[in-house]
Amino acid sequence: MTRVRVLLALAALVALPLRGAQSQNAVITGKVTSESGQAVEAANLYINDLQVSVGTNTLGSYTISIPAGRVSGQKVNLRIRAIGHQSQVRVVTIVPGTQTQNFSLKQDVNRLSEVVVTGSIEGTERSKVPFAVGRITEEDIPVPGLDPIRALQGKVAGMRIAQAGGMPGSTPEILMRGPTSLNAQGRTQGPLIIVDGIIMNVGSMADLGGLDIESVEVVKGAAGASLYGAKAANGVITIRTKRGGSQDGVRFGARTEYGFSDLNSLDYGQPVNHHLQLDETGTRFCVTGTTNAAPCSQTLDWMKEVLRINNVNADTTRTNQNLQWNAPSAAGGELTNVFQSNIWPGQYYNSFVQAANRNAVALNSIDATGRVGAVRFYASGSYTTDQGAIKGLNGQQQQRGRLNLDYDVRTNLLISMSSLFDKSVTDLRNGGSSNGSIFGQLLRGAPAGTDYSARDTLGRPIVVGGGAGFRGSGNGAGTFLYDAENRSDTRKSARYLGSVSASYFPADWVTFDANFGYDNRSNTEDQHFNKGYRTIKQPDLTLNLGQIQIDNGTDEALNGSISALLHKQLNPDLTGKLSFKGLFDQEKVYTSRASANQFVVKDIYTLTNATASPAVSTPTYTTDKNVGALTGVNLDYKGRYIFDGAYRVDGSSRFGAGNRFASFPRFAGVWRVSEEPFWKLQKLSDFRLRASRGSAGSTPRFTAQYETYTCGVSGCSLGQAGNKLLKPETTTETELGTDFTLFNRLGVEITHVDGVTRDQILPVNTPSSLGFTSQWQNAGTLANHTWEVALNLPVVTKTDFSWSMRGSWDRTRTYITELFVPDYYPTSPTTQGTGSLFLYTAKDSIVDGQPMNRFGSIWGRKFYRTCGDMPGTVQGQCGNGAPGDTHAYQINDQGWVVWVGDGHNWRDGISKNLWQTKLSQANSPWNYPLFFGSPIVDRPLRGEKGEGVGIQHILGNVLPNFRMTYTNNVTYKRLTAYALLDGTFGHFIQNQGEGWGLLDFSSGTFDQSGNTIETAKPVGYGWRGGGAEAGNQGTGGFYDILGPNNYNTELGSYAKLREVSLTYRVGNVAALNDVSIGIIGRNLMTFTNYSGYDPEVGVANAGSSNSGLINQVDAFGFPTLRTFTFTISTRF
Amino acid sequence: MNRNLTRYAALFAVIGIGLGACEKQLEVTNPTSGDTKLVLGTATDAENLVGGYFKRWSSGLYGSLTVVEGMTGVMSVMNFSSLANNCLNGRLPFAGVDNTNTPGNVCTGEQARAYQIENEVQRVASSFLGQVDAGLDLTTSARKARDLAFAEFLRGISIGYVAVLYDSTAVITTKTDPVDAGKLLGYSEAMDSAYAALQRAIDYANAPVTGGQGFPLPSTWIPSPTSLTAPEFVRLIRSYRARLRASVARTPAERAAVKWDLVIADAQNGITADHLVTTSNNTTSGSGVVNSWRAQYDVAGLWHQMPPFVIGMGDVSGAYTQWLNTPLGSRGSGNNGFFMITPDLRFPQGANRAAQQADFAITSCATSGTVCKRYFVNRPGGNDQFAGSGWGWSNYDFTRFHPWRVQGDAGTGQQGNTLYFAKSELDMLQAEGLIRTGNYAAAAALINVTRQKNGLPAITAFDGTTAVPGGASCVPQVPVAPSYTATACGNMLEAMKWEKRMETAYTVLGSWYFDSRGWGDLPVGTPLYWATPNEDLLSRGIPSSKLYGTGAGVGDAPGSAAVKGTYGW
Repeated sequence: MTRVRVLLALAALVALPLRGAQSQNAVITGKVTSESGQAVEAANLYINDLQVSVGTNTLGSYTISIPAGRVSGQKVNLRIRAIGHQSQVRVVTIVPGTQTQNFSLKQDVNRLSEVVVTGSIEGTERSKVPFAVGRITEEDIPVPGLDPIRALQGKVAGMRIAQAGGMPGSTPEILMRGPTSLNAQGRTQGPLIIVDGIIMNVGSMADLGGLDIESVEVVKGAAGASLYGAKAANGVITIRTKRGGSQDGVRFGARTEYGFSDLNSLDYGQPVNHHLQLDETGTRFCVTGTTNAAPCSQTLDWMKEVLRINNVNADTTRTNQNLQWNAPSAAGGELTNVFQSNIWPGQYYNSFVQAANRNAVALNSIDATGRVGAVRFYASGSYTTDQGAIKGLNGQQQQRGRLNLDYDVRTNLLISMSSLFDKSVTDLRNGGSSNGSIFGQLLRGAPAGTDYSARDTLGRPIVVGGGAGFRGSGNGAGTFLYDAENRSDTRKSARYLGSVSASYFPADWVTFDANFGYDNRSNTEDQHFNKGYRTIKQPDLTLNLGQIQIDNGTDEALNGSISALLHKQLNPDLTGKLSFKGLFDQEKVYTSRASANQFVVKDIYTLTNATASPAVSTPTYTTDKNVGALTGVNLDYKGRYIFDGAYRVDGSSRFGAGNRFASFPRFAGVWRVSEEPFWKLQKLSDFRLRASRGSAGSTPRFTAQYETYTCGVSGCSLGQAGNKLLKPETTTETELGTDFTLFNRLGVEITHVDGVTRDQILPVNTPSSLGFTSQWQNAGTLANHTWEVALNLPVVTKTDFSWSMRGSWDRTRTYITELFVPDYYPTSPTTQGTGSLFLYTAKDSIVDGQPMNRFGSIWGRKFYRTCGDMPGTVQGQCGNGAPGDTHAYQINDQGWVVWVGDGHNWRDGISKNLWQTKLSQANSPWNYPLFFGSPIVDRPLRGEKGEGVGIQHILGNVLPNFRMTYTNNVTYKRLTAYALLDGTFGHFIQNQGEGWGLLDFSSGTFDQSGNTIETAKPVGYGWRGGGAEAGNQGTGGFYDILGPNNYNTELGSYAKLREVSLTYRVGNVAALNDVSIGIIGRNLMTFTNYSGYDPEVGVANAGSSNSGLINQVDAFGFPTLRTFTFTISTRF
Repeated sequence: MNRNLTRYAALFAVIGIGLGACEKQLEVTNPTSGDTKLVLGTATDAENLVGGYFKRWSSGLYGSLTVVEGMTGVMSVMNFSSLANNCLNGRLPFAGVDNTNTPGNVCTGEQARAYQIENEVQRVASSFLGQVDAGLDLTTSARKARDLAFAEFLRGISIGYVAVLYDSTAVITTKTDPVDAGKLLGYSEAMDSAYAALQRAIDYANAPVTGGQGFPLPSTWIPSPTSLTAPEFVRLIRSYRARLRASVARTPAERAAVKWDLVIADAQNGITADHLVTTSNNTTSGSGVVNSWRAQYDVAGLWHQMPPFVIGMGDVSGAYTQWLNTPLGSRGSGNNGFFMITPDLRFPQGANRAAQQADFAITSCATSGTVCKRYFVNRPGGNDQFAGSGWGWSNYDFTRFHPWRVQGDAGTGQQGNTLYFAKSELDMLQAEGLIRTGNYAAAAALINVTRQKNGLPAITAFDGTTAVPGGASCVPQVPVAPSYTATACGNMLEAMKWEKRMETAYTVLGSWYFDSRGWGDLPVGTPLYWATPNEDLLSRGIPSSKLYGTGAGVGDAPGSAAVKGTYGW
């Protein structure tokens, strides 16, 4: 708002005629430069007492002319403000004639002079805002994001943004400070996002594109977001897109970026060795013996067998031969006796290389900006494509058009309009069969000897390259390239965003604003399997004859507000502001699904062409209505003491009928200490203290308040009990902070936040005999404790050379402090193995060094790591495993405590043929058998309560210990280099992919290449099952039925070289101005010790938490891709 | 100042009034869901509600893989899985029993589903009956009798199955308040309520009535090839009652104490032919009867197998005896599954795998309307799985309902009529009662029906001790004490058990499990019933550590697991 007022004042001043009688006027002129001597363009100089304001031109020059009638020799404050520089005030005497006032502006290291509009009742300098507001401008985004959210990655302390999945078109996930909801199903853990006044309820932020952003402001929690009420507990992001300039005429811009994206790594350490038996030539695999034939009486060539089973003119494949395992004993086949140590005969293939492709990435845009009469405009069109990095996948393509208009109807009336139309096509295939995933196949089911580029005699890609029964085990198939030609899953969406706002200034003490926003998004997802789609071994007509499913969805939202802002100079030192605002918003969502299978005619993908199992799923139709009223007051005493208070009341259709309204107050203040007359510390400047305590809410999911029955053609069944008293979750934050600049060079911002979210909305079990088994109730409290530090360091500021660094550090601890339901395990993020990943409890007793109630702790079993981990009665039998050690329990070369039996050493497994020995259940201290050389699960000892069952430990926490970002920006003459390193540290990931790999012998960990007879481990070391281990399914080896344990739960710390750019400003070329060329890299390198493919991982849109940043399970998700592009831009 | 305050107060008042006026505007209905007021509002709507609840009842028992059926199959050694899916690994009987009721345990979903859905069924049926008591006008006495009989039937089979499966449950009556969850009762007491409800259902169905809209039951209520008349419905009710009476027993002692005269009476007046139900694979709309595990059992060559423990009793080649003589952990070594030769025509015939595969190829009954020649198939080459415990490996897959699984009645798998209650099961219930009451001749006549049909010689010695005929080729050949490594031809009771197991295998939820616990045939340590789900206990304020609620196994479940039984495992 302040910006608008300044522009209007500037416009008014420009319109003033320079009268001929110059001698009677007072003229102030001068030049504004930075401390490095460079001209400062677009600095604002203003004299409040005279209501005049001007800006500097490209040379940094300005002229203020004051009519003679207003010249009386008075002393006034001439203020100057420029983005990126500290404000200055100089007392000047207004006298007839010309005087020169030059300014040299110091760098505003902490950018406290910037005006922010988010969270305050009016645009306010950051120095006077009592809570932390992150602000990012176009200049801070040298590497444009594919969407505005990704552009924020690593740029705001306390804001965690990550890709739970890197598939083109996927939306990044956001956590501000920490989670506020224990259960966010049907809701979000992310912030409220407002774009040019439009509340973004749903849809991909990618719709907005990353090139039209003028600024983004981030308020991270309730202390600053109270003004936004019942939807703002997770903070607020406001995005402002570019507007037209104030100069007449049109200025065009064009930018093109073109390059490729690919996988970060093609070397995942997949096993090259195998455990199958070869014939005496070492080139052919032995077929399993049958009743009438001995093993190896028949042999086969791997790829010939693959082609044989694929090469059949049918919609199924041939049945594969079973292969004989390589086992040293006559009995064979037992997992403790089989080593994954045979070198693959002949050529082997890297499945990642076979699947990967450097596909195109392009971001092209043109824009026009300028002014025609009283209308300023900004128009742009852009096209982006991101095809991903897998052969056959199409990724996402988007086309966008934007038109923003500002119309100065009168000097005191401004009308603005913003509009965006976006159209996109997104390939949603993650490869694999209908329920598979391409990375599941690549990491788990692709044998090293299979050439997936092979085609059968009919020219079809192979549909099975190993898989069930063919490796001896394993469930992978290998349809990832086959699917590219025979399956489709495409979403087409169109979105229109539009808003109109008006600002009216009838007097200098009052402003009226009105805003109306509209958002309409429709999408259609078409999934089909081609007629003739091949299935493996078993016919499946629903796939073989083709299948189609069409999902439709529309989302229509509108919101509006009207407000009045009153200013008053209450006394010479005290300025007051008072605002009133009324708001409403409404959203309607409709989804439907239809499906059928068995096409009549090939290649016609319509429902009418599919004859079997036509089905229409129950459509969803939801409506949300919200109203709100807000009042706020702001008092500024001497520019040093600022008090801010606000009170908002929201009513929502999502609250229970008995609790329709909720209120959200805020009290806050700033003390600008270094503005005090007593402040003498020159080396510590811009020092201020700030405090804010406020509330904001999180609404229940749509269905939560209702009693539900699911009704179909055959009648109804009971769903959940209703709750008319359901309230929103309310987060109350207390934020304390300080900002200062040391030596005019190092800017520091420190913030501490305590947030408490009460009335957690949880699904509460009810006795089954009520018929309803659950009810959503307000039943708990979640607390966040956060520290945030941001540093800004302009290292060198010279005319030809500048170097600046920025960094941030933050940490949040989250605890369940109250739970009014029994402790429970929430809905798991994946279907297998993670059912008890988390435990929700408010008990704060310490387990494994952690309070039980810390949110995000992964619970699971623990294999002994040290002798000290073992029960006291057994510790005496445990040794360090050094050569010659003969303790019954020893620490092996991988750092696990294993049982070896008295007199042996863990190295003796093969040389003494001990791998098949075991300590019987009867002799085991745990009343559970132990196996030579294998890890030991922590269980109660014999006779103790719960014997036989693994003890649940806290293995780690999915939320990071801390996060750090580090940015460098170096400019030498026309060359600018920029890099952003983004790190997350101390969080744990359950590597479920590794668990599956152990099951299928496709984990590189157990490839025995490079091991000796002392260090080699049989496959049973990883997966206990079969043969002599009968009865100990998956509970002895690391596989452990995929359950979380301290083998598969790993520290996931990582740092990513998130953004890199090198730009050279060429200058003017022919008719083109400001030509720049550059190279850009995104996600170029990852530094981590995590053993999975990519530590930036998670399961999105699942589980109770409904956040991939909390569901830290690595389950074959599409990894974040790196991109490398060339860019050229110009303005003319 | 006062003036300003007055202005501000007025402004706030206006805003407050404005928001208050908005309250009505904020009421939004949930258009895709009904509520109790709606669904019981009219006679037709109420009928629609209760009329869909046989399917809902079925859903609790059969409609999902995450239901106890898979666990009962493994516990009674009917089935075996090498994977963790559907709680199967945690139930391996030789792994040490692990029937924990701890919140979050891997079996939570399986444990709770039947309990929750069957309780929902009894609540809905009771609410419907209560609504009729409260004056809901069903217009004619015929319609009222039909509806009340059906609702009481639902109450009976829903309470009955919870009593069969779980330690305890609440019983809801027509007088129970909608927000009253009722007290937990032990399974015996609950079963008495089930019997009473089924008797009321019979009484309503037999009552003289006038007016329209009476029997037969609407075909959608119990989806079947034909609509049930009142006498047919009574026969079905009595069949279920006979099954429940026998199945509720946890131990041989309880099984012996069953009122077998009542079982015999119900069985003799039960269904006269196999009861078929029309199923659907439509799981999304809830409109069909879904039978998930039956379809899953037929998925040959993947992760699930038919272990030899019981089917081996049909072997006459000596392979079963050899298998019994092999240490448990070594059975199946060398990637060889169990192969058997049996005269029982429910199994493929032949001296080797190739011959058995040729005798009955699964593809021979893969079209609609065909009947599979055998119940079991010798798995085609290349489909064997040797993951997991060797004692679970065999060469056989269950394919009795293969046409239904792959083609249904009209080309779409799992859509069509399929067996839900076999006449032979009822005959064997009667036969067991007759054996237990000393009427061996009548029992033999019933047992011989399926024996002879499947190539086994008729029993001609009418006593409880004589071995079944067949000599070295007799079936069944059961493990015998003291070592249980040798086998002997079974007596009439064992013959009845063999017939019942073969006829109900992979067909009726828990059939082998319920019978085996009463016959004392479960592997040692196998849980004898399920704890009341922790969700229910905790919501009632009962700690989940009290695994077995209020039933016989109070506390941490002493006596709730099987002892070493008949066959020595």
